[in-house]
Amino acid sequence: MIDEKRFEEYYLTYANKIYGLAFRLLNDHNDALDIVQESFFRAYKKKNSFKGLSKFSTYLYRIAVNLSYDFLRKKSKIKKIENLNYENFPFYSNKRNFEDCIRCDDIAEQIEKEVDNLTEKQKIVFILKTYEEFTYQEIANILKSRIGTVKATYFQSLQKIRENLKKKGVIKNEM
Amino acid sequence: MKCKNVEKNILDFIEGKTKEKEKIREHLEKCSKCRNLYNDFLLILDNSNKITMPSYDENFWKERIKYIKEKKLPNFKLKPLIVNISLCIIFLLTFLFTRTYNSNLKKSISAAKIEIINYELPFTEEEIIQNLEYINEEEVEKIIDVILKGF
Repeated sequence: MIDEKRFEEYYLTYANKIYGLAFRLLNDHNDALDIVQESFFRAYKKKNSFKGLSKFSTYLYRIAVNLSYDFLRKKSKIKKIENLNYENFPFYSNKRNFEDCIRCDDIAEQIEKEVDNLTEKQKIVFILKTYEEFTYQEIANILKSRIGTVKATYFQSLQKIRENLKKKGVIKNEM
Repeated sequence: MKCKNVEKNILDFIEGKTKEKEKIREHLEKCSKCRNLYNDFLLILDNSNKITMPSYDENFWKERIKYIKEKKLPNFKLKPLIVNISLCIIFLLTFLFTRTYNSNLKKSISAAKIEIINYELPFTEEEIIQNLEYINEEEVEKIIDVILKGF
Protein backbone atom coordinates (compact mmCIF):
# COMPACT_ATOMS: atom_id res chain seq x y z
CA MET A 1 0.00 0.00 0.00
CA ILE A 2 1.28 3.47 -0.93
CA ASP A 3 0.12 6.45 1.12
CA GLU A 4 -0.36 9.99 -0.20
CA LYS A 5 3.08 11.18 0.88
CA ARG A 6 4.90 8.25 -0.69
CA PHE A 7 2.86 8.60 -3.85
CA GLU A 8 4.03 12.21 -4.14
CA GLU A 9 7.65 11.07 -3.65
CA TYR A 10 7.27 8.45 -6.39
CA TYR A 11 5.56 10.99 -8.59
CA LEU A 12 8.43 13.47 -8.28
CA THR A 13 10.95 10.67 -8.90
CA TYR A 14 9.27 9.28 -12.01
CA ALA A 15 7.44 12.22 -13.61
CA ASN A 16 10.46 13.36 -15.63
CA LYS A 17 11.36 9.79 -16.57
CA ILE A 18 7.86 8.99 -17.82
CA TYR A 19 7.82 12.32 -19.62
CA GLY A 20 11.15 11.49 -21.32
CA LEU A 21 9.89 8.07 -22.37
CA ALA A 22 6.63 9.46 -23.75
CA PHE A 23 8.41 12.32 -25.47
CA ARG A 24 10.83 9.96 -27.20
CA LEU A 25 7.97 7.75 -28.30
CA LEU A 26 5.58 10.48 -29.42
CA ASN A 27 7.88 13.38 -30.31
CA ASP A 28 5.31 15.77 -28.91
CA HIS A 29 5.59 17.80 -25.74
CA ASN A 30 1.87 18.11 -25.00
CA ASP A 31 1.11 14.48 -25.77
CA ALA A 32 3.98 13.47 -23.48
CA LEU A 33 2.58 15.61 -20.65
CA ASP A 34 -0.84 14.03 -21.18
CA ILE A 35 0.75 10.59 -20.92
CA VAL A 36 2.41 11.55 -17.62
CA GLN A 37 -0.87 12.90 -16.26
CA GLU A 38 -2.93 9.90 -17.30
CA SER A 39 -0.33 7.33 -16.19
CA PHE A 40 -0.06 8.82 -12.72
CA PHE A 41 -3.81 9.26 -12.47
CA ARG A 42 -4.30 5.55 -13.15
CA ALA A 43 -1.52 4.63 -10.72
CA TYR A 44 -3.06 6.94 -8.11
CA LYS A 45 -6.37 5.14 -8.37
CA LYS A 46 -4.60 1.84 -7.71
CA LYS A 47 -2.10 3.11 -5.16
CA ASN A 48 -3.51 0.96 -2.37
CA SER A 49 -2.82 -2.26 -4.23
CA PHE A 50 0.96 -1.83 -4.67
CA LYS A 51 3.35 -3.57 -2.34
CA GLY A 52 6.53 -1.73 -3.25
CA LEU A 53 8.31 0.69 -5.51
CA SER A 54 9.39 -1.91 -8.06
CA LYS A 55 5.82 -3.04 -8.68
CA PHE A 56 4.69 0.56 -8.79
CA SER A 57 7.32 1.63 -11.33
CA THR A 58 6.73 -1.43 -13.52
CA TYR A 59 2.99 -0.67 -13.50
CA LEU A 60 3.64 2.99 -14.22
CA TYR A 61 5.91 2.29 -17.18
CA ARG A 62 3.49 -0.31 -18.50
CA ILE A 63 0.63 2.20 -18.48
CA ALA A 64 2.82 4.87 -20.07
CA VAL A 65 3.94 2.47 -22.82
CA ASN A 66 0.41 1.30 -23.53
CA LEU A 67 -0.99 4.83 -23.56
CA SER A 68 1.80 5.91 -25.89
CA TYR A 69 1.02 2.99 -28.20
CA ASP A 70 -2.61 4.10 -28.30
CA PHE A 71 -1.53 7.65 -29.06
CA LEU A 72 0.77 6.46 -31.85
CA ARG A 73 -1.98 4.36 -33.39
CA LYS A 74 -4.43 7.23 -33.30
CA LYS A 75 -1.78 9.52 -34.73
CA SER A 76 -0.91 7.10 -37.54
CA LYS A 77 -4.59 6.99 -38.48
CA ILE A 78 -4.73 10.76 -38.56
CA LYS A 79 -1.47 10.84 -40.54
CA LYS A 80 -2.93 8.47 -43.13
CA ILE A 81 -5.86 10.82 -43.62
CA GLU A 82 -3.49 13.80 -43.78
CA ASN A 83 -1.33 12.01 -46.36
CA LEU A 84 -4.35 11.46 -48.54
CA ASN A 85 -5.18 15.13 -48.35
CA TYR A 86 -1.65 16.25 -49.07
CA GLU A 87 -1.53 14.22 -52.27
CA ASN A 88 -3.51 17.04 -53.79
CA PHE A 89 -0.55 19.37 -53.26
CA PRO A 90 2.37 18.18 -55.44
CA PHE A 91 4.94 20.56 -53.94
CA TYR A 92 4.24 19.55 -50.38
CA SER A 93 6.26 16.82 -48.71
CA ASN A 94 5.54 15.76 -45.17
CA LYS A 95 8.39 13.23 -45.16
CA ARG A 96 11.32 13.86 -42.87
CA ASN A 97 14.31 15.31 -44.57
CA PHE A 98 17.27 13.19 -43.53
CA GLU A 99 19.62 15.09 -45.82
CA ASP A 100 19.53 17.96 -43.32
CA CYS A 101 20.61 15.59 -40.63
CA ILE A 102 23.64 14.35 -42.54
CA ARG A 103 24.67 17.91 -43.19
CA CYS A 104 24.42 18.73 -39.50
CA ASP A 105 27.09 16.09 -38.96
CA ASP A 106 25.76 14.98 -35.64
CA ILE A 107 25.70 11.20 -35.22
CA ALA A 108 23.63 11.37 -32.05
CA GLU A 109 20.91 13.31 -33.81
CA GLN A 110 20.89 10.89 -36.71
CA ILE A 111 20.63 7.95 -34.36
CA GLU A 112 17.72 9.70 -32.68
CA LYS A 113 16.02 10.01 -36.08
CA GLU A 114 16.73 6.38 -36.90
CA VAL A 115 15.08 5.35 -33.65
CA ASP A 116 11.91 6.88 -35.08
CA ASN A 117 12.12 4.50 -38.03
CA LEU A 118 12.07 1.42 -35.83
CA THR A 119 8.91 -0.60 -35.38
CA GLU A 120 6.82 0.21 -32.31
CA LYS A 121 8.16 -2.80 -30.42
CA GLN A 122 11.79 -2.19 -31.41
CA LYS A 123 11.47 1.47 -30.52
CA ILE A 124 10.10 0.90 -27.04
CA VAL A 125 12.67 -1.82 -26.26
CA PHE A 126 15.49 0.39 -27.53
CA ILE A 127 14.30 3.38 -25.50
CA LEU A 128 13.78 1.39 -22.30
CA LYS A 129 17.17 -0.31 -22.62
CA THR A 130 19.34 2.51 -23.93
CA TYR A 131 17.83 5.65 -22.46
CA GLU A 132 16.03 4.38 -19.37
CA GLU A 133 18.72 1.78 -18.69
CA PHE A 134 16.37 -0.99 -17.67
CA THR A 135 17.56 -4.59 -17.51
CA TYR A 136 16.13 -7.14 -19.94
CA GLN A 137 14.15 -8.67 -17.09
CA GLU A 138 12.59 -5.32 -16.17
CA ILE A 139 11.68 -4.61 -19.79
CA ALA A 140 10.16 -8.07 -20.07
CA ASN A 141 8.06 -7.30 -16.97
CA ILE A 142 6.92 -3.96 -18.34
CA LEU A 143 6.02 -5.38 -21.74
CA LYS A 144 4.73 -8.67 -20.34
CA SER A 145 7.13 -10.45 -22.64
CA ARG A 146 10.01 -12.96 -22.41
CA ILE A 147 13.63 -12.01 -21.80
CA GLY A 148 14.70 -13.84 -24.96
CA THR A 149 12.19 -11.90 -27.04
CA VAL A 150 13.32 -8.60 -25.52
CA LYS A 151 16.99 -9.41 -26.18
CA ALA A 152 16.27 -10.39 -29.76
CA THR A 153 14.19 -7.24 -30.34
CA TYR A 154 16.96 -5.06 -28.91
CA PHE A 155 19.54 -6.70 -31.17
CA GLN A 156 17.25 -6.23 -34.18
CA SER A 157 16.72 -2.56 -33.33
CA LEU A 158 20.49 -1.96 -33.16
CA GLN A 159 21.02 -3.84 -36.41
CA LYS A 160 18.33 -1.79 -38.14
CA ILE A 161 19.80 1.50 -36.93
CA ARG A 162 23.25 0.32 -38.02
CA GLU A 163 22.06 -0.68 -41.50
CA ASN A 164 20.26 2.62 -42.01
CA LEU A 165 23.27 4.62 -40.83
CA LYS A 166 25.44 2.63 -43.24
CA LYS A 167 23.09 3.41 -46.12
CA LYS A 168 23.40 7.10 -45.31
CA GLY A 169 27.15 6.86 -45.06
CA VAL A 170 27.24 7.80 -41.38
CA ILE A 171 28.85 4.45 -40.60
CA LYS A 172 31.48 3.37 -43.07
CA ASN A 173 31.19 0.02 -44.85
CA GLU A 174 34.54 -1.39 -43.76
CA MET A 175 35.92 -4.48 -45.42
CA MET B 1 34.10 -19.44 -31.23
CA LYS B 2 31.95 -18.97 -34.34
CA CYS B 3 30.66 -15.65 -35.68
CA LYS B 4 27.08 -16.73 -34.93
CA ASN B 5 27.88 -17.20 -31.24
CA VAL B 6 29.74 -13.90 -31.05
CA GLU B 7 26.78 -12.13 -32.63
CA LYS B 8 24.48 -13.79 -30.12
CA ASN B 9 26.58 -12.64 -27.17
CA ILE B 10 27.80 -9.28 -28.46
CA LEU B 11 25.35 -7.20 -26.42
CA ASP B 12 26.19 -9.03 -23.20
CA PHE B 13 29.87 -8.57 -24.07
CA ILE B 14 29.39 -4.82 -24.47
CA GLU B 15 27.66 -4.71 -21.09
CA GLY B 16 30.39 -6.88 -19.59
CA LYS B 17 27.89 -9.54 -18.60
CA THR B 18 29.21 -12.58 -20.42
CA LYS B 19 31.35 -15.39 -19.04
CA GLU B 20 32.99 -15.89 -22.42
CA LYS B 21 34.73 -12.54 -22.53
CA GLU B 22 38.13 -13.92 -23.52
CA LYS B 23 36.81 -16.15 -26.29
CA ILE B 24 34.83 -13.27 -27.77
CA ARG B 25 37.81 -10.91 -27.47
CA GLU B 26 40.03 -13.40 -29.26
CA HIS B 27 37.44 -13.80 -32.00
CA LEU B 28 37.07 -10.03 -32.42
CA GLU B 29 40.79 -9.66 -32.93
CA LYS B 30 40.72 -12.16 -35.80
CA CYS B 31 37.31 -11.49 -37.41
CA SER B 32 36.82 -8.08 -39.05
CA LYS B 33 33.11 -8.71 -39.72
CA CYS B 34 32.34 -9.21 -36.01
CA ARG B 35 34.74 -6.42 -35.05
CA ASN B 36 32.80 -4.04 -37.28
CA LEU B 37 29.54 -5.12 -35.71
CA TYR B 38 31.00 -4.56 -32.24
CA ASN B 39 32.42 -1.13 -33.14
CA ASP B 40 29.19 -0.01 -34.83
CA PHE B 41 27.07 -1.08 -31.87
CA LEU B 42 29.43 0.73 -29.52
CA LEU B 43 29.24 3.86 -31.66
CA ILE B 44 25.42 3.77 -31.66
CA LEU B 45 25.16 3.14 -27.92
CA ASP B 46 27.78 5.75 -27.00
CA ASN B 47 26.04 8.40 -29.07
CA SER B 48 22.49 7.48 -28.12
CA ASN B 49 22.61 9.15 -24.75
CA LYS B 50 24.14 12.37 -26.00
CA ILE B 51 20.79 13.93 -26.78
CA THR B 52 19.24 14.94 -23.51
CA MET B 53 15.52 15.15 -23.09
CA PRO B 54 13.85 18.33 -21.85
CA SER B 55 13.01 17.91 -18.21
CA TYR B 56 11.13 19.96 -15.67
CA ASP B 57 11.95 20.97 -12.12
CA GLU B 58 10.08 19.78 -9.05
CA ASN B 59 7.82 22.83 -8.87
CA PHE B 60 6.45 22.18 -12.32
CA TRP B 61 5.47 18.64 -11.37
CA LYS B 62 4.25 19.65 -7.92
CA GLU B 63 1.81 22.05 -9.53
CA ARG B 64 0.50 19.32 -11.77
CA ILE B 65 0.02 16.68 -9.08
CA LYS B 66 -3.11 18.42 -7.81
CA TYR B 67 -4.76 17.81 -11.20
CA ILE B 68 -4.06 14.12 -10.81
CA LYS B 69 -5.52 13.98 -7.32
CA GLU B 70 -8.49 16.17 -8.17
CA LYS B 71 -9.23 14.50 -11.45
CA LYS B 72 -12.56 12.73 -11.26
CA LEU B 73 -13.34 9.43 -12.79
CA PRO B 74 -14.89 9.74 -16.23
CA ASN B 75 -18.52 8.87 -16.84
CA PHE B 76 -17.79 5.22 -17.46
CA LYS B 77 -18.82 4.64 -13.84
CA LEU B 78 -22.37 5.07 -15.05
CA LYS B 79 -21.98 2.09 -17.32
CA PRO B 80 -22.17 -0.57 -14.60
CA LEU B 81 -25.22 1.21 -13.19
CA ILE B 82 -26.99 1.10 -16.54
CA VAL B 83 -26.05 -2.54 -16.97
CA ASN B 84 -27.37 -3.39 -13.50
CA ILE B 85 -30.66 -1.59 -14.06
CA SER B 86 -31.21 -3.25 -17.43
CA LEU B 87 -30.39 -6.65 -15.91
CA CYS B 88 -32.99 -6.03 -13.18
CA ILE B 89 -35.60 -5.08 -15.79
CA ILE B 90 -34.82 -8.19 -17.83
CA PHE B 91 -35.07 -10.35 -14.71
CA LEU B 92 -38.38 -8.77 -13.71
CA LEU B 93 -39.87 -9.17 -17.18
CA THR B 94 -38.73 -12.80 -17.34
CA PHE B 95 -40.24 -13.47 -13.92
CA LEU B 96 -43.57 -11.87 -14.88
CA PHE B 97 -43.67 -13.68 -18.20
CA THR B 98 -42.95 -17.10 -16.69
CA ARG B 99 -45.50 -16.49 -13.93
CA THR B 100 -48.32 -15.63 -16.35
CA TYR B 101 -47.26 -18.39 -18.69
CA ASN B 102 -47.37 -20.94 -15.83
CA SER B 103 -50.77 -19.79 -14.62
CA ASN B 104 -52.14 -19.99 -18.20
CA LEU B 105 -50.66 -23.44 -18.55
CA LYS B 106 -52.26 -24.54 -15.30
CA LYS B 107 -55.60 -23.18 -16.46
CA SER B 108 -55.43 -25.01 -19.78
CA ILE B 109 -54.43 -28.27 -18.03
CA SER B 110 -57.34 -28.08 -15.62
CA ALA B 111 -59.70 -27.28 -18.52
CA ALA B 112 -58.38 -30.32 -20.37
CA LYS B 113 -58.97 -32.47 -17.27
CA ILE B 114 -62.59 -31.29 -17.04
CA GLU B 115 -63.02 -32.10 -20.74
CA ILE B 116 -61.68 -35.60 -20.16
CA ILE B 117 -63.96 -36.14 -17.17
CA ASN B 118 -66.97 -34.93 -19.15
CA TYR B 119 -66.03 -37.04 -22.09
CA GLU B 120 -68.74 -39.60 -22.77
CA LEU B 121 -67.74 -43.09 -23.77
CA PRO B 122 -69.36 -44.30 -26.98
CA PHE B 123 -70.54 -47.44 -25.11
CA THR B 124 -72.01 -47.96 -21.72
CA GLU B 125 -70.48 -50.47 -19.33
CA GLU B 126 -73.26 -52.92 -20.02
CA GLU B 127 -72.85 -52.65 -23.79
CA ILE B 128 -69.18 -53.45 -23.46
CA ILE B 129 -69.87 -56.42 -21.23
CA GLN B 130 -72.48 -57.70 -23.65
CA ASN B 131 -70.06 -57.44 -26.54
CA LEU B 132 -67.40 -59.25 -24.59
CA GLU B 133 -69.40 -62.35 -23.78
CA TYR B 134 -66.56 -64.72 -24.52
CA ILE B 135 -64.44 -63.18 -21.81
CA ASN B 136 -65.14 -64.09 -18.27
CA GLU B 137 -66.44 -61.47 -15.83
CA GLU B 138 -63.22 -61.02 -13.93
CA GLU B 139 -61.36 -60.15 -17.08
CA VAL B 140 -64.06 -57.73 -18.15
CA GLU B 141 -63.79 -55.92 -14.83
CA LYS B 142 -60.05 -55.70 -15.25
CA ILE B 143 -60.45 -54.21 -18.74
CA ILE B 144 -62.96 -51.65 -17.47
CA ASP B 145 -60.63 -50.74 -14.62
CA VAL B 146 -57.83 -50.19 -17.09
CA ILE B 147 -60.04 -48.04 -19.33
CA LEU B 148 -61.27 -45.95 -16.42
CA LYS B 149 -57.77 -45.53 -14.97
CA GLY B 150 -56.65 -44.28 -18.35
CA PHE B 151 -58.96 -41.31 -17.96
